[in-house]
Amino acid sequence: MKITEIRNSMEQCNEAGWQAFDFFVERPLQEEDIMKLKPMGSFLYLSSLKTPFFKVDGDYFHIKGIKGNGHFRVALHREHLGYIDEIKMTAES
Amino acid sequence: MIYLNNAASSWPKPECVRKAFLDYMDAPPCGQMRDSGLGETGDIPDKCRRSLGRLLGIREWQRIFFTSGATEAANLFIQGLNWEGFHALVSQTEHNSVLRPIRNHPLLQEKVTILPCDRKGYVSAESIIDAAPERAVVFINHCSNVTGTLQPMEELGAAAKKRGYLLAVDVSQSAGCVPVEGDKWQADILIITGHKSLSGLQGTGGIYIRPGLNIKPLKYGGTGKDSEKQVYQEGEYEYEPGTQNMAGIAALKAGVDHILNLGVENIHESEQRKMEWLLQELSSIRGVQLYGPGPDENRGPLAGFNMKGLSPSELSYLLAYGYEIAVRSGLQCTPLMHTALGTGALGLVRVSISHMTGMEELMALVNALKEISAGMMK
Repeated sequence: MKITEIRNSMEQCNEAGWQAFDFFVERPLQEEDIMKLKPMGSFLYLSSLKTPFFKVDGDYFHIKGIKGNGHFRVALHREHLGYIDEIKMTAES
Repeated sequence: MIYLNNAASSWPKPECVRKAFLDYMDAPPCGQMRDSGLGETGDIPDKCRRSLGRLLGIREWQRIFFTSGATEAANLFIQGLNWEGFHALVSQTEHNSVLRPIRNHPLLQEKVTILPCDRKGYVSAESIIDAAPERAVVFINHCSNVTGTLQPMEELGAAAKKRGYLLAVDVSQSAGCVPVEGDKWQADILIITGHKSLSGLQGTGGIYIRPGLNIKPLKYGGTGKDSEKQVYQEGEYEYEPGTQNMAGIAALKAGVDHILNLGVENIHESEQRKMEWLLQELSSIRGVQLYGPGPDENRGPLAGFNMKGLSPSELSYLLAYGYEIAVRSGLQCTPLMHTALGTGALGLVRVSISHMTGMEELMALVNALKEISAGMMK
């Protein structure tokens, strides 16, 4: 999948010391796109939902999104914002 | 979109509020105290004050002053009071609109005591009676914006007065949906917001200041009267300098009158029934943990919960982007209360209704949560 844009998220996690970004993708998220992110951390995929939800948790980041949507959300610990590049690279690999 | 985030800001607004706003925009503007021959348009602020006084149980409605919201109201009081010799006794359920002005006040660094709440969010009258200071201001949030817990205000007010303390009550979350009785509670200050259950616009609100209580204004400027006077003496203060948000006040008046027509007791009873149904349903969903008062306890129109296996922000994201249901997750700007609830740094998911919320919207939430819970078990 290709990331077309990374925006500051409407969901500001600043209260808890985290910062969120929305990663926009060129086409609606497919299961294969979601699976690319799986190795990055602890993975949960609720495939039985009408709108399948996934999340990937690392020590300094949390990724969440919904199959079929045009973006997924990444929360990064403010002291580890560098993970943004690694997540983008993994998603686009 | 199913909107269940009314504790943040109510939506939709009653038609009469929209109409009042548009009607005001369609007429030539009129400022307070400045008669421009526009008839009753210029009376809107006083009419709104009078309606607010009726709704909030304040006989001296002339002592209700408009602000941009609860935050400005809280700041007006906290920055304007002469704190010499006073302590602040602050309930653990306070919102940051009250906590932050107190915590950042240079004279209050060593003079703040937190009045604890229990796991349901209740503050006890004993904690006020047992408090040490000779002179103090007690800050109580009438209705918790995290759990909907309603404080026993008559008891707390009596306890504060028994010690001779001033009483400041934040009614942001209760005004318009739960009976508020400022005089009966012996409140010296009421902190009011317009855009929640009063059905007004964002950027509106007010403060009630008991007659005789001297609070220095936050702002000075033109008021349209006594223009030659440049320096105010104690007791002469004015609190609404500059051109007021008249369109917002007109809309607020329409919202308050709408509530008065419906009857706040009727609204509370109806919302209470809806919340009881919702909480019974939520408590039957596997993995859901509820916080605050039980389903059959008296409460404001909101509730806090979490679901095992998902953080509050994950669940609210899933509800928003998967089911088009808007709720609020996190700390709700009320950090201290989450310590009492055991919800730590992540907080909880808050669902909040208004008198315009339909049962079908609550059913949609319940069905979504049931599906998510079932998905978690697979």
